[in-house]
Formats: sequence, structure tokens, C-alpha cells
Amino acid sequence: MTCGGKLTSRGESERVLVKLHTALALAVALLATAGPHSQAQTPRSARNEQSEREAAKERLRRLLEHDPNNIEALFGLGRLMVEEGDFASGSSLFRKYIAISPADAGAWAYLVRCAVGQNDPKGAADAQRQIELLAPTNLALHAQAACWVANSAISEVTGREFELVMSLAPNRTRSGALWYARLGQCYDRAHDTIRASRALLAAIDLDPDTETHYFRLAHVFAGEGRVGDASEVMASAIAHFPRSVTTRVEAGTIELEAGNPERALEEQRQAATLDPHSPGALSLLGRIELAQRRYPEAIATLEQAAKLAPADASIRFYAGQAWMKTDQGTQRALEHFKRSLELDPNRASTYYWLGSLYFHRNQEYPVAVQYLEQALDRAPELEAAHQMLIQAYKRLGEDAKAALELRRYQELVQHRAKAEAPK
Amino acid sequence: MMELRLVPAVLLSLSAAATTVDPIRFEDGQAPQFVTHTGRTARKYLPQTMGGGVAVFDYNNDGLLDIYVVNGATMPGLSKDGPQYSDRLFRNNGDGTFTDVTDAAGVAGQGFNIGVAAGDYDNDGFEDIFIAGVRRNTLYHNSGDGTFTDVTERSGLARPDPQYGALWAVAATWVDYDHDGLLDLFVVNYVQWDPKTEPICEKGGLPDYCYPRAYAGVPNSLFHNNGDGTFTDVSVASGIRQSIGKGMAVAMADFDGDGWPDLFVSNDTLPNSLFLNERNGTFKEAAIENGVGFTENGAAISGMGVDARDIDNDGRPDIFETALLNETMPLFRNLGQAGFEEITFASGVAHASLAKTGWSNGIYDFNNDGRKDLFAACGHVMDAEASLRATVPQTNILFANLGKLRFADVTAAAGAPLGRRGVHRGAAFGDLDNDGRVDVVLTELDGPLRILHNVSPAANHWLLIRTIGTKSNRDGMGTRIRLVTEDGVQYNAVSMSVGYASSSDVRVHFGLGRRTLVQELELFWPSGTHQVVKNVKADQVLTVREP
Repeated sequence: MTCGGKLTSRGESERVLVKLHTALALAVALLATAGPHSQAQTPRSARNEQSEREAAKERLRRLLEHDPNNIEALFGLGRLMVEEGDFASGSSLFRKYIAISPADAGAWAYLVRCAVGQNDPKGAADAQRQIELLAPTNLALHAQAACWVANSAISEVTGREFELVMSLAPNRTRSGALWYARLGQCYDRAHDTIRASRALLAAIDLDPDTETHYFRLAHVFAGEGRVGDASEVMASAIAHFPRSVTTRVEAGTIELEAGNPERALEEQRQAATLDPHSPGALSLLGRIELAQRRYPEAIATLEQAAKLAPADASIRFYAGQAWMKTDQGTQRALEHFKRSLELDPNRASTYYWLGSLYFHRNQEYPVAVQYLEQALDRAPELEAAHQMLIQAYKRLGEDAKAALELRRYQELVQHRAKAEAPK
Repeated sequence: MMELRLVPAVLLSLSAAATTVDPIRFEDGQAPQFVTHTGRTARKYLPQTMGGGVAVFDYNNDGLLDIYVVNGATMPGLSKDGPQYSDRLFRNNGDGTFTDVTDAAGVAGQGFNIGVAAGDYDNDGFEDIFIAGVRRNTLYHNSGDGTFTDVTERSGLARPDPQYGALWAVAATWVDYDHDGLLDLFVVNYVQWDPKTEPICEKGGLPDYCYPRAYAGVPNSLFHNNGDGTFTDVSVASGIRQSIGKGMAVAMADFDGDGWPDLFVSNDTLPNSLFLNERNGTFKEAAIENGVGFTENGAAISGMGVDARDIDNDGRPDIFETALLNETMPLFRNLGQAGFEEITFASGVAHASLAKTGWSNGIYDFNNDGRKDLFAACGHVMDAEASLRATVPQTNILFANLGKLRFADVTAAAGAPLGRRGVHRGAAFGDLDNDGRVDVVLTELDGPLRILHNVSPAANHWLLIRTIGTKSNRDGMGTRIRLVTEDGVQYNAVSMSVGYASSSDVRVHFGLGRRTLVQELELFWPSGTHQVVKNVKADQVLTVREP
């Protein structure tokens, strides 16, 4: 048989190489899905990445023309297609791949993702069974697969994969906490807060000495309006890290976002007591003042925080927010937002606000378009950016682009309507 | 030669230049004795934060606006088991006083009611009443003899939704969407809600009302008037059903200038909806492509009340929406084919409105200077948010139109009643004493009914137009009016759905400034009839019958 012959002729070293590629690809994929700020790129590098990606695809296609069973090319091209959302092509390539290398659990994981993307319950269940069979205790692999199916409408597959990952927790060491934390983030983004909180609780159980696990869990609860639960988690964090300014600031942030600025202020004061020069505590104070519409005070506080921590993108972001609330503050707000982007080029909301200021305040539509496109590259669910981008395209006479953007938005709305329909 | 003004104009200091504007003044009118009851309990139920719908309309055709106010009920039972929960109808005596005629008229209502919409759905010349309520709506037919008949069952409006069951309606508008001469009914529905499954929420360690995100959205409803006293639910066939929202208010206007009525729905924590009439019995939801789904805030606001009228007299209705504290009260300027542009900050509305939670609102020319001003009833929602530097009781807010799309907050100078705090909700607009100045009837949650009597002192002139449709619906609802004086052109339209949960004077008001003559009045009736009336004297209530 051709496939078998090819594989045999490549030998063990190639198997190792392929496994390495698989592991690397999965690790990259998981990092990419771990958070909204994980795809580190500037506007320029985003374009560069696109051209590099096209070049890579072309190279892999040429390899496959030369050798249709080149498993490295099959895997690499399949992965790129999946990343672009072309699940049909991805599925086809991975099917060819597993015909040659049926024991590669990583490829099966990609097939789960393809099946979910194509809403193919049987394909997803079949591929999932294969991962279970081939790598029953591979936490990284299952955590990735569980992440990929977090948004899936195929609830059986989602539930099974998630429970499998959770069943691995008791036998894990502290290092396993990372995977559960990431899993929690995936399910939080999928608005499945019950699973998100379970995963994050597992992360805390495995590694109680990492503050961020508490923070993430508290944010999940707060996002659901479970303010009491969020406060309880943060109280537990404070008990565990009594000298941590970060924990106090985070506790204050959660109270602020839950609409309790006075409680936030209590935490802020505690943080400032621990470290009177903490930029984080000052930033929180500025945000509290912002919420209370004390704009001149917020500006002064955040400007001071920015001086103390000139490389803190978040402080610049909130300083921009404060300035834009004032009549004459647009220019200064733009400066802060731009600096924030230089420091953290991945925050979609910064692109959004820059787009908004150029659109609404300056009526510079071409510039607004650039920022809004960047915002949506990073956060397609940012619905307000879709609206503004459509308007900006219209003002520029680019009706075809406006129509395309509208279609993208409508897909989001349909998804939301499905989610909200009575079961 | 410059005409002498009898009243000194108010000098407003703005960033660009000092601007003068005729003062707007209100004083307390003699409001009927009435207190809204929301059935407050230790356990918090979301409907207790709402309610307060009010209508001003002439139920007995004596030329004077009467007042109908809806009321709450027990919670969680949703029953009016005491007179304190009765809805009320107050007849205008014409001398600044009102008489409670609720019992005689038979309109005490049932259940926990939120909003009201008055309109003559059977074209018999008498205004009927639709009441939007929690898990039950009511339609009262005006018998023409001072009494009403509950025709909810008979009309087909009592049926529960096949998918969602009993819906919670907040507001409604009468609209002849298919131009068949009969008023159809658009009902704004809020969220999926059942007292048995009310979630428990807290804030700052205290029990509080849950945020809207704790509840799932629902579609709105459109009922076609069959002309025989019955209605057919055409929500699916019309396309209205496709959009899920958390509706709070509706404004009816011809936004795209095609001569057909469109609908803007203000949603709570979801994008607003703009239903454009496709002129074939269907609507297309197009808020996002027209730039009114979101504000520049970047997220869906807690949309509350809405009114749509032409603030810059370019012939296109603009949108004024109210929202929660820290969200501003968005102002969208209609650009025609290009959609809308948000001018909340540019107009000067943003800063003053950031500190307010707005509910019912209206776009009216309160000082009759020929420019429509903005009013919003204010009061916060949650009990425990004082720490956001916002009291739950709030003062209302009034913006004077300075022209050139600029507004100034003139609340402080508008009289003592504007300085009074309250948990305001409903506001209906109309000239209660026919003196040409638009008054406001206000409700407060668990507070008294109030009348803001407009006593703006400028000696400006005015015109009130009552349209009587013959081929069109009898109220003339949807008729667009173009008015020309020596000062220029103004536009307005016939609509009763103004603000939140409330129903305003169906007569169309114009302030004429110093002009005593309207050179030309053009009416574009829903039937397609184009009518021109020339040389109309100012300072009168003019009845225009469709030819």
C-alpha cells in the first residue's frame, strides 16, 4: 500500500519529527486560544503574518503536489486551514493524515475541532473516542480538545471531553493547574460559567499559591452577577496573600466592576497602605473616580499613575477613557490610547476606542477604519465595532465592504439568538 | 427692525460662544391625587423597578387632554387586590383641575401594568386604550359615552405567545404599518420573566434587583388590525419576530423617508432595533447598518425611553434615547441614506446626562422658539447604588435647543419643579390647557402623579394640529407635516408613542417664534394624500381633515 510504504520508508526519525510538530502545533494552538491578548502582534505584524501564512500555505501545497502523502505537509496545511476556519479543507487534510498515521492523537484532536466547526456530531464523537483511546491521560491534549469544543453546539461531545479533563485532576501535580486555568478561560469565553468555575477551582486546588487563579475565578462569578461568590473568592485570596498589593487591587477591581465603588475604595486603601507608591492602587483609584464621574480627579490620578508606571498599558487605557469624557480631551485621549497600544498591541478595546474617537470626534474615517478592523481582528464579538466599521465604510463609499461587515455581524446575532431561545 | 422681546433671554455660556435662548419655565400644575404602587416587598421583583406609564389623550372629545395612568399590583401575585393598585382615568375639567372617572369609565385595570398607548383603532372617533402589562395586556374599547369595554379576549390580544407563554410588555404604539387605514398594534416586550423563577441578587451585601442580564430576551409583537375588532399576530410574517431584544420603548417615524412608518425599539443591555418598513407587510431590522444599534460607548446600553422627531428641521426624524447612569442619553442625527450619526457629545447632551438614569423622554419645543428641546424623566433603578454618586431619586433634565445641533442643560433655570428629586418613570407630553405651551405629566414609582405646567414666558407663537384621517386612519397617525413660516421650515409628525411606557398628545405641536402666520402647511397622509393648507394663523388648535 502506498501510504504504508511511504511511512515505512521515512523511518522512525520522521515519526519523531511529526510527533514533535504535532506537539508544537497543539501548544501554539492552545496558547492562541488561551486569551484575547495571546496573539501578540502589532498592526504591521498582523499584515506580515498574513503574508507569511499565505507563503507557508503555498509551500505546503507544493510539497503535497510533489508528494500527496507528505505527513508533515498534511498536518501543517491542515492546521493552517483550521486556524482560518476552513474546517472542510482542514478535515480533508487530517483525514488523509490519519490514514497514514492513525495513532496520532493530536491529529484526531484537530478532527474533533473540524467536526465541531462543521456541526458534525457523529464525526466529533468518533474523533473524540479516538483521542480517548490513544491518549487517555494526556492532559494537555484533552485540555486543548475541551477548549476547542467549549463553544460547540454538540453538547454531548463538549460534556464528555470536559468531564474527561476534570477526571484527570486528582492525579495531577501543581504544574497541571496551568491547563485547568486555561480551560476555565475557554469556558468563560464560551459563557459556560459553571464549567469555567469548576475548571478554575481545580486550578486553585492544584496550585493554591498562584494569585491569578483566584482572580480569574472571581471574575467569572462577577461576570455572572454572583458578586457575593466573587467577593468570597477574593477574601480567600486575601487570606492566602495578605501582603499582596496585586490581590487587593484585583479585589477592588472586581468590586468596582460589580458596581460597588465604595467597597472598591476600601480595597484600594488597603493596597495603598501596603505600598503607597503602587501604580496599580493609583490606577484603581483613578478607575473608581472615573466610575463616579469625577473626571478631573480621575485624570490627575491616572496621569500620576502613568508617570509611576510608564510602561503600563492598562493605566494609559484608563487615562484615555478619562480624558475622552471631557470636552477638550480628545487629543490627550488619543495620545494615551496610542501609547497603550504601543505597550500592548493586543487589547481589542484600545483599537475600538481609537476607532471611535477618530470616527465620532474627528470624523477621520480612513483612520477609524484601520483601528476598527484591528479591533475586530482581535475580538470579532465586539458588536459595536461592527456597527461603526459599517458606518465608516459607508462614509467612505465602500459599500461592498460595508455589506460584508454587516453579514459578519448578522452571523453573530444569529448565534446570540440561538443561545437565547427558550429550550 | 429688531422686535422687542418681552422676556429677557437666558444667556448660556458655551465653549464656542455665549448663546441666548428663550427661557423655559415650569411650575407645579394641580395634579390629581394619585400614587403609583409597585407592590414593594422585601424580596425584590424586577417589575417593581418599572411601571409608571401615563397617557394624555382626549377620551371624551371635549377638546381637553385627559390623563390615564397605569398602576402596579401585588407581588408576586400580580393582582390588583386593593384600590391603591387601580389604574386611573382623570377627566380634565378645563379649569386646571381633574376628576377621577375611573369607576364610571370602567378602566380600573387588572394585573401589574407598565405602559399605555391611546389610539382610535376602530376609527369611530373615540380614542381607545391599550395597556401593556406583566404577563397580561388589556385593550379597552372606548364606547363613546364616557365608558370603556374590556375587549382583550374578543380582540385576540389575550392569547399567550406560543413559544414564550405570557409575555411582559412594557410599551406599545399604534401604527398603520400597511396603510390600510386601520391602526395596527406594535407591542414592546421586555424579558422572559416569571415570579416563580425570579432570581435573587444582591449588591454591596444587600438584596437588590437583578441586572437585566439575569433574564433572557424576547421578541416584540406586531398585531394586524382586521377591521372587525379583532387582531392577528403577524410577528412572524412581518419579520418582527426575528429580532430578540429586551424592549423598553418604541418610536414610530418614517426614518428612511419612503412614506411608510418605521419603528425604533430601545433595548435594555442589547443593541437597539430599527425596523424599516419594506412596504409589503414586512420589516427589515437594520439598526447596525444605520448606526443606531450601539452608542460610541462600545457596548449595548441600557436603553430606556425614546422619541423620534426632527431636531434640526432637515426633514428627517432624529432619535433621542435615554439610558442608565454613566451611559449618556444618546442623540442620533438622521443623515438619510448614510444612516445616523451619534451627536451625543458634539451636541452637548453627553456631560449633563452622564449623571442621570433617564426613562420617559420627549422632543418638544417647550419655549415655542421654533426649535425642539429635549426633556427626560430621571430616577435610578437599583436600591443600593448610592455609592456610584447617584441617588435613586433624581431631578429630571431639560435641554434647550440652541440651533446648529447644540443643546444646553437648562434644568436649573426651568423652575422649582425641575429641582425636585423623584424616582421618575413615565412622562407624557401635551398641552393640557390649550395655551400653546407643551406641559408634562410625570409619574414616580411609589410617588405622586405630577404635572409640570409650562409657563415659559416668551411671547412666542404656536400651532397645534389635530389630524382627522378619512382614507387614512382616523387619528392620522404617521402623517408627516411640513410647516413654513418666514423663519424657515419645520417638520413634525403624528405619533402618540413618546418616551417610555407613555402615550402623548396625538396633536402635533409647532413653536413659531415671533411668527404669527404659517405661510404653508403640507400634510403627507399615510394614504398617500398630499394636502396643502396656506396662510394659517398662529396660536390656535387647528383641525385638518384629510381631503
